[in-house]
Amino acid sequence: MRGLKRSPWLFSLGVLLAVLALYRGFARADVTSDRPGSIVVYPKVISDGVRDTLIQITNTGNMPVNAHCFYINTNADVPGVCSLTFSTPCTVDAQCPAGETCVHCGETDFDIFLTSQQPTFWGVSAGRRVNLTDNVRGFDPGPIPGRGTDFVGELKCIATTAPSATTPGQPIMQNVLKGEATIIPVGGGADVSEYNAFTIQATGGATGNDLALGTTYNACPASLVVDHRADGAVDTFTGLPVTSELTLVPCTEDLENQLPTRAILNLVVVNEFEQPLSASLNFNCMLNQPLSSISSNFSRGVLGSDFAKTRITPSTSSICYSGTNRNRICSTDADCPGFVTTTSGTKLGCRPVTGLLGVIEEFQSAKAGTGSAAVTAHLEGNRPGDVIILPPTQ
Amino acid sequence: MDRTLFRNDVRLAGEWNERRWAMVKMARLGSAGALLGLGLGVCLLAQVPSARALTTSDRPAAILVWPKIVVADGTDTIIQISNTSRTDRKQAHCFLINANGHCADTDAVCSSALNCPSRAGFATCVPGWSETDFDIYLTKDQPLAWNASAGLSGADLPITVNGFCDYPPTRACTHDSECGSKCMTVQNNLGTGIPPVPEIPFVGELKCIEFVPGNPPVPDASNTLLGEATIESMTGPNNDVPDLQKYNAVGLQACAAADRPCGPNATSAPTLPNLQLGGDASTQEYQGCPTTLILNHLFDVGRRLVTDLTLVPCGDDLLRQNPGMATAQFLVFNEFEQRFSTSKTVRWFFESQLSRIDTPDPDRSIFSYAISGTLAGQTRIKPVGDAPTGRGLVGIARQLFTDRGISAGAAYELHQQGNPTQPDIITVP
Repeated sequence: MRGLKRSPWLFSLGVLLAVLALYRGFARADVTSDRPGSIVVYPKVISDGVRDTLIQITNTGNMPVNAHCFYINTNADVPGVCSLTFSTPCTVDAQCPAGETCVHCGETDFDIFLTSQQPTFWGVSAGRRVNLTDNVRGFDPGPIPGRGTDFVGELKCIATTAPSATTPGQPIMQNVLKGEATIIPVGGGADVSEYNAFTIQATGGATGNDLALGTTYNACPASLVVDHRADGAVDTFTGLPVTSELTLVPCTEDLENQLPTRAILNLVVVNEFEQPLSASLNFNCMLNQPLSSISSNFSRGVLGSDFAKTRITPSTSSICYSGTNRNRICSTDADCPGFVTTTSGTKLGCRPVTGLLGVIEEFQSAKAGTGSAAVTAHLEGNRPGDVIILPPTQ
Repeated sequence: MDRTLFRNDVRLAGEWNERRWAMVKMARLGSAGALLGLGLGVCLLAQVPSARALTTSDRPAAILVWPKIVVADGTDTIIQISNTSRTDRKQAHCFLINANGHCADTDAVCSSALNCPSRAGFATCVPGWSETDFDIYLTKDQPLAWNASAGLSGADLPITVNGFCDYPPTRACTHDSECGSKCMTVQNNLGTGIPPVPEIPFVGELKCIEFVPGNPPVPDASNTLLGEATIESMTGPNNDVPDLQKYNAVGLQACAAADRPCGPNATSAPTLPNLQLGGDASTQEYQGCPTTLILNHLFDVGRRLVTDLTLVPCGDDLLRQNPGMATAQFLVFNEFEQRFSTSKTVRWFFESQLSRIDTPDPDRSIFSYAISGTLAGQTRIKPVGDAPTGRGLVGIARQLFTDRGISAGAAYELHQQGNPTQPDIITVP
């Protein structure tokens, strides 16, 4: 008892610090693109033979960090599943029931290890081998698979405990990872686009394999805002027409059951005369399209001004994430018969439509070459309810 | 249980008995628990991110900083600013800061004495800092953009009418007398006058502060501005290949906003003339600038691949024309976790190729691939100093590639860490 009498202040201090730490963690819960986190999301990763992507990721902490990374490939060469009857494999839309599309959303995962403060990089097409004698100098972060020239997708890395030979590591709170992606031309040239990866900070608490954004990790934004040119507007300095490509990825992802996430969203584009135009949109797994393909409202002719601002807001509805009514609007789990429950116990029944993260890339093309620039979307507010489901550790 | 496991086999007064042993166990377990609690607390405190009290490059804010605006022969900067308020017209009071140096004898623009040849050799290149301020009025949800070389004003503004008549509905009006019955006012850009950069070539910074339009205008704490800049140039042997480098402006959110971006205890509304960024929560008005900026980069490889860094102080005395100053300490890590360091004074505006920060000879620099030994690097930039405007810094980086005679690149934002204890001050005229 003497020990308890002697050290209650010490125990109280510890508890106070723990409470303070958790309180501070919950003070503001937002995804960011300019500070380190436990999850790093690169929404736009290209290796299609014309362009390649250089991934940079850094440990900003003084302790080593492991991370489990997932490439998500939406290239048409990847075996797909039908958008509603997701158990039906396909390679083209014609192999799916009427009204459905073939969704390509293949996942490949790997582990990396970074020593304290270590930066590292790799090219997506070639990956990086563990070979201390090759000409890529530095501590190799681990065997990173090359993706060849048929990759258009996303990269997500999650801080974990050290993996063993048979099991991947467990997600942990280690808000030290940051990253950038540089999209470069393959055949030479200097046309490059670079953006900061989004980071999601862990806020404490047990995570398990189902990472709850808004609870144990920061939440995704309530909406995205991008400033951009009207498609087809002529740049007053270069005299060249401008096009933009919007890339969006869902915050909710089921990497255990490999079910592509369906996003439903609303776009409100406001021109310089403060006139709003809107469009609605849905996609599976990832959106990577020129603005003009998304809606004619983005064209210079319709917008009537050279510059515009677009607010991208996920639907406030809920949909079935699995079961026979998959991807259909629902109000309770009962509307989603046959829904799946993950190994960690998350019900993939009726859940809020996924939040979004995104990047916009601008292009100007001349006969002699193309110029491009990418920036991350601005973020507004936050919305809980997203979840990233990792494959089980066993 | 083996009591020696606890290394407590020393005899105390009296004989050991089970009760005493139980007490000792509880005491030790208590101490162990206390230490465990303390350790847990310290660990969590160290690991958990602090309240979001730092600058932001991805959220709407009340102060925007574009660290790099460039206009030169063959180069221009497109500046974009948007109001994200869905209801209110906003005023941004902006300061365009000219950081050009000028030759002491000819007043020509220079970046070093080498640009100032004279009969006696080279004249001094005198560093410069001068600001021009102007207003931008944005209607609800409105985006606006202009070329830094040309500015934006008058008939080029999108909405230049006070209102429209109820009848005839297309007639612009100022008073009811001009209409059939009533002149319905609309939000507009009247009052906006964005000047072109004062000289070409130009290099400098743009800072905009959000106000509630009125007389006198009051600093606005609603955090509804966001911005970007695109540095455009034509490159290649024939200057016919476009190069675009776009970055998000750095934002500082006002603490008094409803969502308390600086934490629950920082609630002070901003007041003129001194705007306090960071510091003590009881007086803090805006988010603080970070204690450390983090730059991921590739080490410079000759002229083929270089990274260009721009830093500007967070605090400026715009009233007395006394710009901010700090010393930037650079801590550089390569892929072998080996450390290098150097430092450089940032006087109001700093721009340099990384491998020229520590030496005039890039091949000898700690930022060169030849010296660092690896391609990827992390540089942590810690500002120190005691200037009255504070010591915080913000910045952007540009990665520049040269291939087959074409030089082009990409701009990106710096990451940040650490809440400052010392505030930065922007003093507004």
